[in-house]
Amino acid sequence: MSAPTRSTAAPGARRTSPPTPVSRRALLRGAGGVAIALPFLEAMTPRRALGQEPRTEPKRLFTFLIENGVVPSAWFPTGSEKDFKMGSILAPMVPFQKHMILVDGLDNKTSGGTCHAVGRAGCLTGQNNSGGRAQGISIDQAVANHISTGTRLKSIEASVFLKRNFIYSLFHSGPGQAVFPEDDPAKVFERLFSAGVPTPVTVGNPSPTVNEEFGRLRQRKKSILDRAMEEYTRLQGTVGASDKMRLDRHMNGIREIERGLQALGAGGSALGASASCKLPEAPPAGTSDFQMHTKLHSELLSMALACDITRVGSLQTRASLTSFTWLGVNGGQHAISHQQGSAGPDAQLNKIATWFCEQVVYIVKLLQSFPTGDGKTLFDNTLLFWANDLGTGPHSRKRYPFALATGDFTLPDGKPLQTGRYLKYPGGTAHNDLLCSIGRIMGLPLEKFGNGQGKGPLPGLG
Amino acid sequence: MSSSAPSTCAGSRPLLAVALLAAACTGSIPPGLSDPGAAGGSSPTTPGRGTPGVPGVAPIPEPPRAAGCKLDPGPSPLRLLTRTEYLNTVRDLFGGPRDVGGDLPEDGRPARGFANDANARSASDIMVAGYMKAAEKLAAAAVGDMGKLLACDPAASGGEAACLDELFDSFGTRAWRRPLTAAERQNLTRAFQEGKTGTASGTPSFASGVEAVVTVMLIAPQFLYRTEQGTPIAGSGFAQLGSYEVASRLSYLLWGSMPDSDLLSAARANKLQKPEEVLLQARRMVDDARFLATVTDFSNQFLGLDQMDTLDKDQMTLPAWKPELRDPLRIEGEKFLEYVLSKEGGGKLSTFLTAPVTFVNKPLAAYYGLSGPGGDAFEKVALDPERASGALTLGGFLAAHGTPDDGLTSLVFRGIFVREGLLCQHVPDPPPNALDENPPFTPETTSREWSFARMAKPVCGTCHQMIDHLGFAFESYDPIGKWRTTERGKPVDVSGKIDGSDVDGPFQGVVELGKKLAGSKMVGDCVATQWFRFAAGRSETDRDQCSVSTLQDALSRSGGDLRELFVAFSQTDAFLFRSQGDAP
Repeated sequence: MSAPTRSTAAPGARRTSPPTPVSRRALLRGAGGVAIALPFLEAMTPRRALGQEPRTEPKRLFTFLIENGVVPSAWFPTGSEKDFKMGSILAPMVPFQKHMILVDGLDNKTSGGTCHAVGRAGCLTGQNNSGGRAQGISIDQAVANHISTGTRLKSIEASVFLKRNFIYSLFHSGPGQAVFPEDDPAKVFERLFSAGVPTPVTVGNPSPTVNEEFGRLRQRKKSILDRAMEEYTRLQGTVGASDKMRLDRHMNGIREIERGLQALGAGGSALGASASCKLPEAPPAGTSDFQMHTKLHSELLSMALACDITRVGSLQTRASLTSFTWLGVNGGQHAISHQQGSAGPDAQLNKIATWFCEQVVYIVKLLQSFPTGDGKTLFDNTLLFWANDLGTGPHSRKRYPFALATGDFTLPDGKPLQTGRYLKYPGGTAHNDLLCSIGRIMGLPLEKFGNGQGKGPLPGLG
Repeated sequence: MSSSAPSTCAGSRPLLAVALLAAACTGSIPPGLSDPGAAGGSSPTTPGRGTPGVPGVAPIPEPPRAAGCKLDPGPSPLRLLTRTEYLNTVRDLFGGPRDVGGDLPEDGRPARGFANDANARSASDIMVAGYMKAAEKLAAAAVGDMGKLLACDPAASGGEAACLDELFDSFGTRAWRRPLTAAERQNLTRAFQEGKTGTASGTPSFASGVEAVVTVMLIAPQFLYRTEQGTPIAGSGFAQLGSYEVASRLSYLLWGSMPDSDLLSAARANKLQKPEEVLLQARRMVDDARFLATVTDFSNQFLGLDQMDTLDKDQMTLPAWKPELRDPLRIEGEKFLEYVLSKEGGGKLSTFLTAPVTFVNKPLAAYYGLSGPGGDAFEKVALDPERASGALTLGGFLAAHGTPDDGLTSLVFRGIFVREGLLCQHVPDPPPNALDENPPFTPETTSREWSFARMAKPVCGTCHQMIDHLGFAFESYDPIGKWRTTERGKPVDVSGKIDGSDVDGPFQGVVELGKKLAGSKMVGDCVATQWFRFAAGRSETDRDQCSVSTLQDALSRSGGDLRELFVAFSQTDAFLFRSQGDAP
């Protein structure tokens, strides 16, 4: 794998020097020369104590997406559930095999459009596509609604080279309600870290002056939101059912801001923060390199989980039109993927997929570098879901290459999640059932998920 | 682009019996309505609108309708300002552009329809957070120039209360596009009181209170959405829009922004009730630069030029592609539209579809291999009439409807555009197993050869017969819109045929196809339908037949003048009325 050169986490190191609150000026300078206009309040986050006592560590979900399928022979393992040899794409994962769950036999049985539209819309939702939007919530958002309580953000979605190609959407907060990822690492940084990060406090309390000012400004913002909310409520009383739904989503957005304010002040979001949480370096503006772009997002999202700014992060990569020249592959991955099944193109596709595997390994290592309050690491409390918008074969929606990875993960019933497994299900099993399993692993009491094609959680998983 | 049944575009309805523009008004301003009231005349003190034929009650002003047409505005979903509309509105509200675009995410264009389609849009958490951020910045800037915002002195007699009244009456009416109700004033007064004391230091400040009010106004639904009540028409489930609501609809229809002072004055005088009053305003508004910007937005989305700034092509297989061409290719299309709508272009749809002219600057001329301008400025150039056909051969359009790499299916994207975009006929989505049926291909297989192999397969052929024969017209243009005579070493063959239309028959290439399309009544009707979708912010339904007919008739009666089409929406039921709630 490409060695991570940007330093983010200092593994295991608990800070000992008295930390300083993030200053507005510092943040402004940090953005690679491009000024980030920070709302005054958010630059004034008070310090708070964290990580004092052992606690029940919150769970996190990190979803990593690649596209256009993989060559099946290079992905799927040979062997039995507990004793298997992974495909060549997964070679970088071999040291982490005991942490992996590879799932085989799943098809995307959603419908309503071309392969790319259905592949994208159905991938995380198990719902049919309509006009590039899924007809229901995606699993990441469903999990976020459930587990991101008390955090400043419900979730973060980032993308690599997707730009604003929003014709087909992956993430949805409800039927037809697309959640578009942010491509620009500088903007993802701003969204995640404009309010600073919870800082471990070893001496004294935050300055009372700062706290009073902070309290007043927070109250002011809350008043503004409340007054606006009154107008939405009044309007909602005069409109029909479909407009009510529209306004509901808007009002949820206002509540999200309020919850962020609450988390900022109360120290609630700090409860799950790792002792190694720290403000990452601001990404340079205009990152145009695919490798660096992927790496930056991996780091920003991992740090967001480590700092408990949110508990659900998703990273969508778009390799379709990128020439992976650093791997000696010329021509976009999309065009090559249409020729899957011929030796030359397959070799190129496998190189690309292996590179993505290295990025997943990098995320695993990042997660492992953050100690958590229960004496374990962030990886032990994070479910990493590696998904693909298409299956195996050229643009097929059959036999999807899905993988899960986590450390010493405790299921909601207190039992450990068994990893190091290759799970083979009967061909044609709806991938809805994996999404359902993921929801259950994350504590969401799902019976089924998606468009009704599924039967319920996969046997032996969640 | 299209999503509705072909029947709505069949053009089989009788022509309007009355001339659209000689609007015969059958109504008058009801007594006692010189002040239309805050929320479009819906306050309890406002006399209700009458029903035609009921003695003693004024009839509703009616637009001219075709024989057999009864009042029906179709569905009226609540419309959230698009990003463009938001930025335009802020510009006009504060008297100059404001740099808050970075706080607002782009509107995600759905796979079908326009970006303003109310049924495909709702405010995500990120959007709501962006509105808040932008509002905080705008409000802070506004109170930074308090003299411009408010002429009053809070320390003078009447004090703060008088100042607040002024704020609500002047800025408030403009921001919310109508006078404020008592309940709204009360809520905003509370926002002022809380904002006044809610300073960092705790020291009360008038400016801080005003800033809070402005912030609330800018994140309230009255600003972000196009809220409407109207006056119910008894027993119909419909409402007639008040003059302020019509002013707002007009300004967003033609300018993509808030009403100007003329419109607000007309609304105050309740002079936007009769269709001819509305038409008069509409005619005034099309001479403004904001009108061209709005129809450019429509045209760009229609042709896919709105995707240019993020359009990616694989530079390995399409080495002539350069990201630096994105802007020039979009601007070329915009200049071309401007030309079509100018006196010279005559506003004609046929010019839009066939004119062998375009606008290029030096880099674009080089891209096309044209001898032309030597600088960055765009200049009009005449194109080979054997090759060029108006918008259909714009490089940006062809690239937006071309494969991302040197693929074999550009003709499919282009064929679908003709079938759906210009004929308004729905092309079904491929069946789930379609890809398994794809015929094999080699590096030597041409797009046309692969297409015929595909059409020969029953699963694929049913739909691809509808698509590919149209798409062949464009085979002289590669996936990035450059002229070609060969593909994969073989000569291109541009013979195709059109069926299911009123101009059926074979053609050779895009120039012949363009001529056929320009002479088609179905195409004119379809373009009118597309304008309906953009103007109404939604797809048409069966209930909209009369409104759509009004548009189609305006276009055909004017000999295909797009400018008449754009204005005609202001004379439809869909524009002048609304459906209440979800009824009927």
